[in-house]
Amino acid sequence: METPHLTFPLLVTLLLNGVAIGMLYFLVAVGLSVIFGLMHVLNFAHGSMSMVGAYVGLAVFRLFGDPATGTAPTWAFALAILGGAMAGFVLGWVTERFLIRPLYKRPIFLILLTLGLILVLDETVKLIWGTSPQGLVIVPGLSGTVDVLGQPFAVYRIFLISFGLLMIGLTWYVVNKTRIGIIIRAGVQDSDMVQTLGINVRQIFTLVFAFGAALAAMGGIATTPFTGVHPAMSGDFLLKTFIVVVIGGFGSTTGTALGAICLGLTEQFLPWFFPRFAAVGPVVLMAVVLLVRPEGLFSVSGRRAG
Amino acid sequence: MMLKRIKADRWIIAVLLLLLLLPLPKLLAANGLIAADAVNWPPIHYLKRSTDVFVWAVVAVSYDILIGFTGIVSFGHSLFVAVGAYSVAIAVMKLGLSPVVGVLAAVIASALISVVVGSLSLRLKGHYFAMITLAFAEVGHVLALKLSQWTGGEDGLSVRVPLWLANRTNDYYLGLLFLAVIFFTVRRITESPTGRVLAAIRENEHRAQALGYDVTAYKVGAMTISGVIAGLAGVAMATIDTQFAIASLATSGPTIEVLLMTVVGGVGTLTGPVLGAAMIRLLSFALPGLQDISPLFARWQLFLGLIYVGTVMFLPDGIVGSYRTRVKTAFQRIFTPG
Amino acid sequence: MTLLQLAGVHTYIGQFHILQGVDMQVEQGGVTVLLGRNGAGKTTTLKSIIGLLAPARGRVTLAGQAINGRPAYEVAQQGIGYVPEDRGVFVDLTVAENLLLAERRKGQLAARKAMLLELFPDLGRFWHQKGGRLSGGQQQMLAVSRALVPENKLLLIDEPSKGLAPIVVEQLAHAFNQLKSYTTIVLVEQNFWLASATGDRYYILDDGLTVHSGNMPDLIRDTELQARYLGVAAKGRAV
Repeated sequence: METPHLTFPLLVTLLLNGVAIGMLYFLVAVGLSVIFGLMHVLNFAHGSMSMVGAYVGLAVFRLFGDPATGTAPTWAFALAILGGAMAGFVLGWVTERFLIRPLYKRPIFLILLTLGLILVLDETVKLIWGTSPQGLVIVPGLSGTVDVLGQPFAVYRIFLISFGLLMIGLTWYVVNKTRIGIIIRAGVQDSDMVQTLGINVRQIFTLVFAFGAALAAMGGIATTPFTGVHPAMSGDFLLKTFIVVVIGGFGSTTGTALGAICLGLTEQFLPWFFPRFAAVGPVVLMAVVLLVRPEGLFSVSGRRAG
Repeated sequence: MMLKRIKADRWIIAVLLLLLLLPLPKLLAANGLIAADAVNWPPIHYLKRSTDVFVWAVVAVSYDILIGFTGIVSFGHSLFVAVGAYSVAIAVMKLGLSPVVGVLAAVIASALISVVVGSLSLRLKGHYFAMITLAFAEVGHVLALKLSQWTGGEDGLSVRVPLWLANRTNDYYLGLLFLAVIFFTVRRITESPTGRVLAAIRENEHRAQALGYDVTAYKVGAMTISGVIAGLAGVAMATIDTQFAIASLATSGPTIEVLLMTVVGGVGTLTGPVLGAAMIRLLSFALPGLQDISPLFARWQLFLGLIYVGTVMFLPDGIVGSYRTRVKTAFQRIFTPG
Repeated sequence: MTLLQLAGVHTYIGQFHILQGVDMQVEQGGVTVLLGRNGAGKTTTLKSIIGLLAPARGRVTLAGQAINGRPAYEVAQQGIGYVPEDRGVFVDLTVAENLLLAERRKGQLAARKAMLLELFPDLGRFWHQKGGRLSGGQQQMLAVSRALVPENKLLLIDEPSKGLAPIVVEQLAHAFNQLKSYTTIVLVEQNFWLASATGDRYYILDDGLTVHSGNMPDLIRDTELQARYLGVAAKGRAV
């Protein structure tokens, strides 16, 4: 196969692309990571929650858009992100409070429950919006390209990198600098002990689940200018989330950020070297990390928090 | 002993007899014992769907060995179904060999892959195990898509079966025989000393280890038996059921459906998974047919999801499991003094 | 005044019937020591009080109010501090964060810091280190300090001396004796020296039942009772 020479400007573009995609993966994955670290719930419906966010976001976007061209002003996209996040928040809140909470003592049933939720959420989405892809979301204010070392680079990717960095910064601040963050980090180690200090951990569980789903939903809507909105998103998101979280280590927000960027870069660079099997690369990477270093590549002491 | 067994199994035997008798007219007609055109019962789709139920029931029974009798939740189980289906499909369609060679290849391939996947992944526990099996299944899926000169890529491989297998009545009886043999074999295994060790592992892995059992070896063994049976079910799928091998078989989708069958029927009961397979497969045939009544039924999998959530929340022991507990507690109530 | 009362408390862990009717009455002030062999149910008793385990039968009251069956965080908010056997120090949190976590109102730690540092001067040196970096003794001091951050009426302390050097155990004894004027302590302890050096009253648990109780000086004199219920541990007079 003929591959163009990997020039320096191209290398920079691939790097930036990888980081931009990595930001999306961070948004989608960070909730699952913290939820697992804190509550030991592996939420298989996490990808579906992301997808619901994308669909709701799209609906909000279209409220203000031009149906003929599929475009809408930039502020409508901001509203779409917000709307999708709110949908995710409500979905996460209800799921934790009414479905997951009664099952904390039965871990296998928690897995089964979230599997069932995949079917319920995915099919409900198809019921409301149909099975065909919904077309790209075009935000004129964020379209176009700029010149980076002579290579065109999409403005939207610059937006993604900035938005992603902002969200990474926010999560880092919440986890490391606020009381809720202290409770989360403590709860990842021993939530019973946190309870005995007079803290209602269950409330924090609900909150974390809701915010995790909200971030995933944001990630869902933020991908739509690339991929459009389609029902296969949920499965894609789920697998990518697992890969990110395994690489980064469960329960760690910093690890998730690093794992997400790692996956973004792998996906950008792998096709240059192994074009035929690039698709299977990330999954193999996940399997290898699980076998060799199940606590994640970026954990220092085998402990996971922070 | 034997009589007692038969008495305990009277429901199973009754169902088996019924299933044996149902398509008898077709069987007689096929062998020229009665006029072929005089018979149009049972309709051909009844035979097709029943065969499909039998095959999936085998997959569900093999899954019950893992979840019910050893306590492992794998998300890569249908990988072995795919391995079985592709083995026979490739042997017949690409190499021009007899289906019998395909069956042998399927057994060997699924056994080998089970041992490799099992010994790699069973070192991990709980959620980590679940995820690595998911990863292996995904690798299998992508390989099946990419090695298209062997697998037919996205189109899959259609299997041209010998004439005697193209007959739905024969397929039906083969499927039924297959299920019966597997069901009773697996029950023998679970009731054997080996089966009791597996149960001990399920209840308390550390204690089983402390008692001197090589827990990992037993688990790999259980996964191999289960994988080979699933591989055989894949063979059945490619020969008497859909007569097709497709890459999507390897994804987590079918595994999740099999998990649903097992859970709805009752984990660890063997009859439960069979019942669950029948329910879920028949629902997935019947529900889409109701689209004329309401477009809601176009999304029939929504109902599977609701059954899933409902079972987990309200009937965690499944249908057969709950029935057994009910009978047991009723007995206890009668025989407990005071 | 009776601060804490357990009446006929039965607690199961899984299928095991661990507490089979524990009765206990703890007066306000002083240190009540819970003694007994391994597996007698001492830790389970503490967990049944704080609410980590729910008693199947019986009543637990704090200052006359029933607290059994309530979730742990509610029980703790009634004014109980708990120091578990494994100390429950959060290893990824700094000492300061560990202590902040225990605040029930903003500013409690700031108000209490001087007193904690006086009690355990070492803590100051490690204030911004992660809990996981501390030695066993320092972790124990942190765990006890954490229970002192809010105004707790009662401290439940589970085997603080476990695995610690004699000198640290002496430091703990000193701290507990100082705390007597400030709060009430229920202490589970296998180390008879620490028990006798700090205890005012004692309860002996055996097979999930309270079998003996009284004033600590009486137990110190009664070597026969010690041998019967406390076994080898009782011989360890001095550390």
